[in-house]
Amino acid sequence: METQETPGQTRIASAARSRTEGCIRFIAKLGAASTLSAEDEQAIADLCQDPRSVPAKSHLIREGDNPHNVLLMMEGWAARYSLVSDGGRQITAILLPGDFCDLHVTILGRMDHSIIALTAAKVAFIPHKVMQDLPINRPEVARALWRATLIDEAVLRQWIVNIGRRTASERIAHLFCELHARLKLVGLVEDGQFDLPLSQDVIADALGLTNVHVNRMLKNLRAEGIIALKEGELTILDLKRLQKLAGFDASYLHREMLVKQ
Amino acid sequence: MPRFYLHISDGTLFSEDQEGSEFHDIEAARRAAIVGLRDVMSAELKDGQINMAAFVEVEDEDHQLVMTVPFLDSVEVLTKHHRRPKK
Repeated sequence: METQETPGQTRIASAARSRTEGCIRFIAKLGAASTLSAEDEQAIADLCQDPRSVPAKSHLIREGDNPHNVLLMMEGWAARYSLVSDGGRQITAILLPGDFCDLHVTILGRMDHSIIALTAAKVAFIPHKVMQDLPINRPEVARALWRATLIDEAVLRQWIVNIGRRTASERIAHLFCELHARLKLVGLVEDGQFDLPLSQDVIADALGLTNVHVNRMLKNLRAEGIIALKEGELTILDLKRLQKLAGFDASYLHREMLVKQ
Repeated sequence: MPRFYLHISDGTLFSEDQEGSEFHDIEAARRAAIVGLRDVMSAELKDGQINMAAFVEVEDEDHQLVMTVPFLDSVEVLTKHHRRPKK
């Protein structure tokens, strides 16, 4: 178990108390890889104002919609997905607290996929205009957001590798390693344990597997003593073995930038 | 929608489905059992081994067994082959 405080946690501890947890998490995520001034942090906090509560299983936005806002996950989980002609669903991203759902989506004008809340969530809806002005008013914040977008793309690349070239058990192991690393950055992992509000169906749709196969592979990971999964809570009992099984190399998440601070 | 539990036995172990999934009806659950078996078995096949005795048990919401789908019912096994055409 790692006892060392992560840079994310340090940020969270130092952030102003009056800001909501979701907002502090978002600042932690963006600030982790950059040198943001107090004014920059305030500009980010302003982005997170008045988040709307969204019930589980409701759509944040649908394919074909004309997006007017950039969505920011303050609390809860969401998934980006596309449907195929037989009704099958491919999840192409799991969005965690502190994640943007498409930073530059307003530029494109029409959604080419849908985003659904997997849990009850709090989402900030940021007007396109605000995002447009950000590079002029707060270049460091814009740079931090740009970096976040590049990392989202890196995650997507790894998902392609995962689905295209890894076995079922490796895919699940990789997903768990990634969620662990991403959640840790926003201070949502405690002693290798975190909330995993993903049903077997969602895991299956994210990994291109059937739910029977997911059930079978989860059983393997449990039987091997690598994970424990109970009532939506995942405990990674042996992170080294999980990472080895997945062939997980966290460098694509570009956390090395954290060390520079 | 009703919930069904799809437990799979593939020779290596019996994997109980503790969570279950919602299906439109029992036919949809049977379909998922078949597709699931094919999915698991094709992965085994890629690893160079296949257990023909594998099956999926389908339980309803009350954990009553409603059907067993043997792997061999989920695929058609063909043994016919074609000879090289004569020149």
